[in-house]
Amino acid sequence: MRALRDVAIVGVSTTEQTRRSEGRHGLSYALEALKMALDDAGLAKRDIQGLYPMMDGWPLAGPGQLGGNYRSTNWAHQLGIPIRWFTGAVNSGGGTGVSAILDAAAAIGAGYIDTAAIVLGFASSNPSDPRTASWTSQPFQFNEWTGTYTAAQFALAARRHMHAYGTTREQLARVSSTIRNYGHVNPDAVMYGRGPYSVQDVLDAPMVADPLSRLMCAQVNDGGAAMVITSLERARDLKKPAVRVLGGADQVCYPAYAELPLLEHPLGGAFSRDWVDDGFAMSGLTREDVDVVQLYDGFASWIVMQWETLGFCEVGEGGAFVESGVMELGGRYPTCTDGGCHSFSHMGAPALLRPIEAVRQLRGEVRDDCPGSSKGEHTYDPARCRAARDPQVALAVSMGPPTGGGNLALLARD
Amino acid sequence: MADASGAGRPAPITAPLSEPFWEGTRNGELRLQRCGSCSRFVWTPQYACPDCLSEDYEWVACSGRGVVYSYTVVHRSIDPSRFEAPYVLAVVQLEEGPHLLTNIVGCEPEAVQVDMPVEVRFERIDDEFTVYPFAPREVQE
Repeated sequence: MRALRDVAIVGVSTTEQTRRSEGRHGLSYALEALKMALDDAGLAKRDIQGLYPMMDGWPLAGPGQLGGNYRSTNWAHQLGIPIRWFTGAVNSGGGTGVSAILDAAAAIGAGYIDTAAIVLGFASSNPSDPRTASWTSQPFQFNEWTGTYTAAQFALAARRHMHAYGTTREQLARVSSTIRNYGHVNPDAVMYGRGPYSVQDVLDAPMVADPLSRLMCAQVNDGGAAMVITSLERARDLKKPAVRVLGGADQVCYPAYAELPLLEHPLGGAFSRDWVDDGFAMSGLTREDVDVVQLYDGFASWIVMQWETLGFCEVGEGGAFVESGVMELGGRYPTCTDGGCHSFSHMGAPALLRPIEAVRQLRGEVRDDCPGSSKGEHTYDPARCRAARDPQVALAVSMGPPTGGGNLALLARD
Repeated sequence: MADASGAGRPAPITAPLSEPFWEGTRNGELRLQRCGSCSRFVWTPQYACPDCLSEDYEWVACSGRGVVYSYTVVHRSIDPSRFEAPYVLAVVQLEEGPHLLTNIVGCEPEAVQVDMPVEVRFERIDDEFTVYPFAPREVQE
């Protein structure tokens, strides 16, 4: 085996994100995103050796196409390249986000492959259907009869958190107004220009599943996204500044949606959180080193719980932590700075959108309403700006619902 | 015993592993797997005990009693033709230990509280399936 190598992200892309695609297949978005990310990196498809795809179905069904989206052979055939390293939706990645970055970094770092691409495409959302993401309401035999769905599952965890720790709806609303106001000044966000939102606006929105109002919930969108990862050595020869993958961690405990959202392990006791400290330790960083944060903001309450899980505050103090304004521009940890899944996009399984936004912040490629935005010049006025001030280190997290699982990647400018 | 108020709820798609459970609800019993090795009660049904990994288990009727661990009053129904909003989704912790997902029936949605004592109230969907919502229960002092 060769010695371990350093790894970097060299290409990122997001296609148009939309409330409802017309006549496109998820693969269409995935291919568009892949080409954009390769162009961003200055690489060609033949450079890809590892592939991490996530899509809402493969366009051909039938013999030999079983599980098409997750079959390496189908992808190799469609892309016209040999694939050496392949994983469908990995570990806690749900949407092949941070988990896939860590897996690719391990494979590249160990020398099995040189370059990998993560690619997502979704085109089957139906905003009028409250079941939101179809995979969260599959006919699980112990769930379907209850009328549960995604928002309701998160609401159960939110209510328990409020009961156990005194978390308030106002604190949840602060999360959503903060994130939505970033999206309000992001020209690429589905909800661009739709704000700004006050805490009261969020509280007054129609209730979906108590305590979650409509504005505390993510959208449902279509679109594509991709990322290209390679060795740091090669990255330094490419056209964009390299963003290093310093380290991270990942764990799962039990299946989301099929099982219950609990704040403790089903076998009893607290969920282990040592994976978080391990992720920081292998990166050689502490929480103090982090400049900008991207969390999975499917629902406001889940942001509160993630700060606790990630150890930025004590368990039970997440509500007060977000209420301090820590997530806002000018706060200690500007968070979900593209508008997140609330406002930028929640296309299908959106996990990759978090680390993509982290890369854009670190590169200084942030489009917003500042007059000099296209030249990288920002006002840092929250009414029109969403750029963190000269960030060196970003924390990207794409953990799914409250089932004890999670992941994180620490990314840094080279 | 089960009444017919479950009509309209979607019938579960079962697996061989869980057939004893659905046979139980059909007969007015809420059954759980109990590990033959470490005596832990297991929910949802698993092939082996997640604690000691023993494949030796038996299906036993549990008390059907528990307390509300958490709940949500759902205002946007997943399917208004089957579930009329508002309805209450809940996690109930059974006296035997496991948590399960259910509905709270038999009271106004506003009356539901965390830690409220509840007991199973079976609802028959059809000849084959009976589901297991919970309702408030009187606690003897």
